Amino acid sequence: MAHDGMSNTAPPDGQGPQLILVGDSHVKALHAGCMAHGIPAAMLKSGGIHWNAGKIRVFAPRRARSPVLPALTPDIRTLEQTLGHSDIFDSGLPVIASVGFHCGHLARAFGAEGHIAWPPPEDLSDAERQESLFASGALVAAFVENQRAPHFALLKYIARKCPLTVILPPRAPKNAHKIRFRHNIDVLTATIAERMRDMGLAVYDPNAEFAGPGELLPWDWVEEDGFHGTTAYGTEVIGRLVSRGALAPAQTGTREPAP
Amino acid sequence: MSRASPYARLPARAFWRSAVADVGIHGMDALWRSPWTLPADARFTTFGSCFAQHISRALRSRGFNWLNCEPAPPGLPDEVARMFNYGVFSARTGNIYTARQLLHWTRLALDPALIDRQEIWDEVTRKGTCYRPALCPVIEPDGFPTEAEARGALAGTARAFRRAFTETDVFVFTLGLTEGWVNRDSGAPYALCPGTIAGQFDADRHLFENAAYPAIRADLENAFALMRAANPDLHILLTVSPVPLTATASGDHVLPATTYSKSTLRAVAGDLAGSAAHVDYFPSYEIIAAPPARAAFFAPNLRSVEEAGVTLVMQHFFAGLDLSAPARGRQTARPQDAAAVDASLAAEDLVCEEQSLEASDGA
Repeated sequence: MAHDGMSNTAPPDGQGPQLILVGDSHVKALHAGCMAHGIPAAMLKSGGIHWNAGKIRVFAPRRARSPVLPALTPDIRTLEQTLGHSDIFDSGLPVIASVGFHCGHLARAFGAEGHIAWPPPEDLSDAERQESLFASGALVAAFVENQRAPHFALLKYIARKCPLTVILPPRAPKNAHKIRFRHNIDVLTATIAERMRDMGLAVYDPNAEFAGPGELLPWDWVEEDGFHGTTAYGTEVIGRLVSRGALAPAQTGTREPAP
Repeated sequence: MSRASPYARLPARAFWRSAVADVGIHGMDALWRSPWTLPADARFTTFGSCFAQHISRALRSRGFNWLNCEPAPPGLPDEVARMFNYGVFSARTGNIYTARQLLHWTRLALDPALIDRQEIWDEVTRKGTCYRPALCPVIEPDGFPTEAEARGALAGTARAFRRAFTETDVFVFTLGLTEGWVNRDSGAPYALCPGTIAGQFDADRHLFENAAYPAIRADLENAFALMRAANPDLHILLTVSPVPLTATASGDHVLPATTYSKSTLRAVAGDLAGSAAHVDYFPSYEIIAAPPARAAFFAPNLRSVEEAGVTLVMQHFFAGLDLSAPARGRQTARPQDAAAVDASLAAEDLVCEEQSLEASDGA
C-alpha cells in the first residue's frame, strides 16, 4: 500500500514479523536482506523528504499509541492489530532503523552558501577552497541537532521499548566528483551517528565493518544513484547482525526506560 | 563688495538655535547628506565596534542590500547562528574596535600566507583544551578543539572579509576605541585584553597602546588604500560609536578617557572624510551623545544605547542616503557545484519515490 510515496510492507499472512524496520529509502535494502535470510520483517518506510519535513510525531507518554509518520497511520494501525499492541513498539520486537541519514538535502542546505565542514578534504581544488566558507565541527553538530531533533526523539522513544540497532547507509564513491557535497554528506552522516552514540543507541556502520579506513564498499553494493545500498549490501549487513545476535527479540517484551 | 556677514545667508541648519535647540532631538532635519549617488541596489558591508551591529540589523530589516560574506548555513535558527557570531557583521570578525585591528584584518585578507603567523590562544576547560584566534577569540562559543581548526576559521573569515571590501559598494566602519592591546614583539593587535574574557595576560608579551590621532589616521589610510587597490570603486562610510569605554587602562579617570577616545576618533573620521571623496562620515555619535539627546538614549548603565536611539540614528542614515542611480542587478554567485548538486538530488528523490512504490508492490 502506498501513501504519497510512503509504504509499509508487512510479512505474508500467518507469519508474524520477527522484527520491525523503520526509516527512509535506506531501509529497502535492509528489508531485502531480511527476506534473503528468511526473516519476516514489517517495514515502515517513508521517503526521506517526508522525514525531513518534520512529519514524525512521538505521542505524549500517557497516550499509548505508536509514534507515527501521519501519512503512515493506516499501515501502523494494521500492524498494531497484527501485533496485538496499541503501540507497536510495546511488542518488544527488535527494531532496525535507518533514520536521519537521508543527508542529500541536508548537505545541500548546509552547503548552499558554500560551507564546507572542517576539516576540508585534501583533494579540494584551490578554486573551491577559495570560495568555500569555513564550518566548524561545533557548527555542524548544532546544525544536525536542529535539523534532526525529531529523528533523535523517535529513536530515543523506540530504544526505551525495543532492542534498537541504527544502521548507517553505504558511503559511496559514485558522486565523488562533487567533492564538497560528498564531503559534507560524510561529515553530516558521521555527526548524526556520533550524536546517536552519545544518546546510548547501538549504531552499526557497515562501512567500518566491511571496508578499511579510507576504503569504500564494493561497487555492486551501491545503487547507481550513489546513495542507496543494493540487495547484496542489505543481505551482508543483515547476515552480520544475525550472526551477532543483534536481531533477537527482547526477553521481557517491554524494556525499562534508559536511565 | 558685499559687507554682509558670511553668516547672513547661511541656511537654518547652520545655526544651533534653529537647527537644534528650537526643533529638539526629534525635529532635526538634514543632519547628514551622503555625497555619493549610489545604485538603488547598492551593497553595504558593516564592521567595527559593537554599535556597528545596529547598522547591520537596520540595513537588513529595511531590505537594503546588506552583504553577508560569511553567512550561517541556511536553516540554522537565528539564535543558534548568533551564538556562532553569524549575521552580526558582514564576516565573522567579531568586534573590530581599533584602526590597528582594521588594518591587520585587511592585510590578512589580502595575504593568506599571514594566517600561519597569527597567534592562537589555548586554554584548558572542563571539556579539554580549546583554541581561540587572538584576533577574534570569542567567535566560536566553546573555542575550537584543535589549533588547526582555529587557524582554519581565521582563514575562512579572512577570505570573507576580503569579499566584504572587494564586492561591496559601501564599507561602513564604526570606530570604537583608541585603547587596545598589542603583542609586544610582532605589534599584532588583540581584539580584547588577554586574560579578560579569554587568553592569559602576560605583562612581558602584552603591551597597552592608546593610539593617538597620527597613528589612527595612518592605520586607516593604509587600510583604505589596500582595500581600494583591490576595489577602486569602494566607498567608505565612517561612524564613531557613542558607547563609552567599559574601562580604561590609560591611568586616567574613565570619563575623560572616554572623551579623549571618542573625540580623537571623531577628529580622524572627520578629517579623512574631508580629504577624500571616497570617504564620508555619518554622525551617529552626535545623535546619541551630543546635548540635544540629554543622554536620554542611554540605558541606566549610561553605556548601552536604547533601541529608540538606534532607530533615530538609522532614520537619519536612511534619510541622507542617495540611491537614485540605476540598479546594477547584480546576483550573488552560487557555489560552483550547486547546479550539479541540485541535479544529483533530483535524481535521488526520483529514486526514493520509485523505491517506495516498488516496495509497496508487495516486496
